[in-house]
Amino acid sequence: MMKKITAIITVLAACALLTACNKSTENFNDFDDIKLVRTGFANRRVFENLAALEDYVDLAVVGKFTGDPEQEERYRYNEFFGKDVLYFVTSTNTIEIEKVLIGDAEIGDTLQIVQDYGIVDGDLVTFSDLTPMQKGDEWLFFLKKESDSDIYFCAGDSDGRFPVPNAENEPMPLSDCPDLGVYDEQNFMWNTYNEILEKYDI
Amino acid sequence: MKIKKRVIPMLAGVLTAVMLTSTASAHPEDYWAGKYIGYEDAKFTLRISRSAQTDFLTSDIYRSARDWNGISSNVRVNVSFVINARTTIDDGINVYGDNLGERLLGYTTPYDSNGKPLDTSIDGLISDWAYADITMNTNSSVFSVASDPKLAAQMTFVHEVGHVLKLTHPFISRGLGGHTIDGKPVAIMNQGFPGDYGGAVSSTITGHDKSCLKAKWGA
Repeated sequence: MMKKITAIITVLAACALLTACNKSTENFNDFDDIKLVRTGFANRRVFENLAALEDYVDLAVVGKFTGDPEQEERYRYNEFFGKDVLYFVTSTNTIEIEKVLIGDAEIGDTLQIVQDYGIVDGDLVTFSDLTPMQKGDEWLFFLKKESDSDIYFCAGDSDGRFPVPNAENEPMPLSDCPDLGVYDEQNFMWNTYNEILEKYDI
Repeated sequence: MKIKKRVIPMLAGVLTAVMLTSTASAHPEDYWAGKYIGYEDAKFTLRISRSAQTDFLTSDIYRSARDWNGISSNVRVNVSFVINARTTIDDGINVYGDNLGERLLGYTTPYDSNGKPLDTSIDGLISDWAYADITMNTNSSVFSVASDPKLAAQMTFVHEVGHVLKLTHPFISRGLGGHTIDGKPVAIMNQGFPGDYGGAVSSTITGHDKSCLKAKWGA
């Protein structure tokens, strides 16, 4: 009997170790000395125009990040390396809504947004094409709420976040086009953005 | 009359050559350089872990990875399902499942020899990878909005295996017509659900995907 209980406890402990999560809050608004690691080639939803985006989202708002992100790292045991390796990292931050374009929200409301990146061992490891969520930065968000939590995400990653004209955002040295909020202009949906500027008074 | 007889076959030949070029030309931007450290080919077993096996992500979805076989003599993909935690396979590429919310359908991570994720935008483009693994989203609601959720999951898995085979998301075609829609190659390696971008996101491996695989690993 004792042997069985010991075996069960051992298995449960091993399972807990296999998928370990670390949560931390980091203030990393200084990106000068950080190495960018864009990893994890993904398949994701894509939104080829504004109509497709509008159909999918719960909210479209202009908002400003109010704090520093809190991040969660995920590790699991990998037989090839014989140790736990990082396989995913997410960050959440809060925005305060300044303008509502679509959805049931009010100016001044706050909500949490998640993006798939974080600072790990001094590197900015990102699974997302969007630049980090810096305190004070202002963006136009097309947001979908996760079905199992109250956290929102940018629809289609870089398909769902756009610059607010004349916004004065923090510098982002890791990006070739920081004003667009992506690392690489190829990931910016210019056609959709032009449709937005034509349709909405931002 | 004689001229016509000669011109017609010549024109037909030229047209055939153009069509063959346009349907089978690989774009060098559409696959990574480098191989796997210690290997010259891409012959491996996908080791489907228990975490990736769900009521929705069933064995037939994973077996579709074999569609990459028979294109290049240097590529062979086998699929093996982990029955218990002790199962190990040499040269196995692990396939995991995790709840990724509704942001991603699945993704592939390449690693360096220290087990650190590689920067696919720079290092990953040119360097040999030590290892790669696949994570499939076990949150089935992310697939449920597709017109055919099972097909979307299957396409995602074959797409991710394409990344393990060092194929990238296709860049916009530069002057190579014929197999593009609005300049975008028709490919399973495009991001999205099957049928997106007017059909450029394919649910099956296309001529473009095959030509890239052959250009990468040889015929």
